[in-house]
Amino acid sequence: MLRGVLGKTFRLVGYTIQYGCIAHCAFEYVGGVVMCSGPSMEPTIQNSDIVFAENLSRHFYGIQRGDIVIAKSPSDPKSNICKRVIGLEGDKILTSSPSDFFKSHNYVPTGHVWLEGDNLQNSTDSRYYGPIPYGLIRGRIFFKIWPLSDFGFLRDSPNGHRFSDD
Amino acid sequence: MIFSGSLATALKIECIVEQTYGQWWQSLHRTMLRGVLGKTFRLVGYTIQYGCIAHCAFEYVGGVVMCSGPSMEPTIQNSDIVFAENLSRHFYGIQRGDIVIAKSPSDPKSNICKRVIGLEGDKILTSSPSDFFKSHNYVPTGHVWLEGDNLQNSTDSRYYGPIPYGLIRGRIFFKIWPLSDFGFLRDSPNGHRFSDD
Repeated sequence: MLRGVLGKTFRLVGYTIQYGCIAHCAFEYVGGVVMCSGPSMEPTIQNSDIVFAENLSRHFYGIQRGDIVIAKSPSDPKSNICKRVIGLEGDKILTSSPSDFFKSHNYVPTGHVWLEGDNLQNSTDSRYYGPIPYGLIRGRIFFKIWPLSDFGFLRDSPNGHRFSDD
Repeated sequence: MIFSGSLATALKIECIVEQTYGQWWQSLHRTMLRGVLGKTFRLVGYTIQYGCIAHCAFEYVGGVVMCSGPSMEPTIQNSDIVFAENLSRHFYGIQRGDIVIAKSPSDPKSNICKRVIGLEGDKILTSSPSDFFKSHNYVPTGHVWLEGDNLQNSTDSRYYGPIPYGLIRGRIFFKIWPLSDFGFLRDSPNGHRFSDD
């Protein structure tokens, strides 16, 4: 009896590890479902929306300007942030606020990206902590699943003016 | 009558030919083609399965790494083979003095191998010894300050600043090759970098 129970336990553990590994690799290399929280991407992504993220673009270095990405937070490695890519390495970013008289620019360093939330008034992003290394990006959000009233591919940035050079 | 007779014979022959052909195709399908396809799918399935398990083992437990470059001499020479473990990173157990592998902040495709000099909140001496006035920097939250052991020949945080903790991939703690240097890795030869001024 004991040998039977032990054998069954080992088999169960073996199968769990096996399928756990496959599921993990699927989530990491293909994509998965993500729930976003916070107001920084309104109106594109509201609080508690459920979206679908794909991880292939990151591995093939295909992230482009205007993509919404999930990245590890640079100030807290345990949490993730969800912002839009405004600039890639080498781009010129306007860093002064519209009320400033003199405009100031910054160039995004190699290997970094400049992120901003769509809700510019209520978003802690690269305007606060600077450009983040590309290596922190985990995936690209491209499709909203919930709420069903907003089902479908995600809209372009409402802040189109941020992409133009001054 | 003869006409219908020969027609019936022709139809019968056609039937037999079709049956034979059908049987031949069926037997081919059943044995060879299906066998080859089935074997291919099984092979692909096993490859994916064990590939995923191996990947998870490397990512969550550890693996063998070959380091290149002079920035960690004398602790790690060029082309040394070391063993890296990835559990400390996931449990946020990286400490001062650990040698870590991290994604390079200036090139996401390559990795760097440096020692952790300071964690978040630490005060780092950033002026060179020849400066008259010492300047300090504090490591921001969620970042670490890395330096190579070979201070004269290392591009590290003194050049690109502190890097986010999220870039760290693993901790090197054991050298496998060359056998003359087999064993746990030495402490930093730059012990003075750890003390506050």
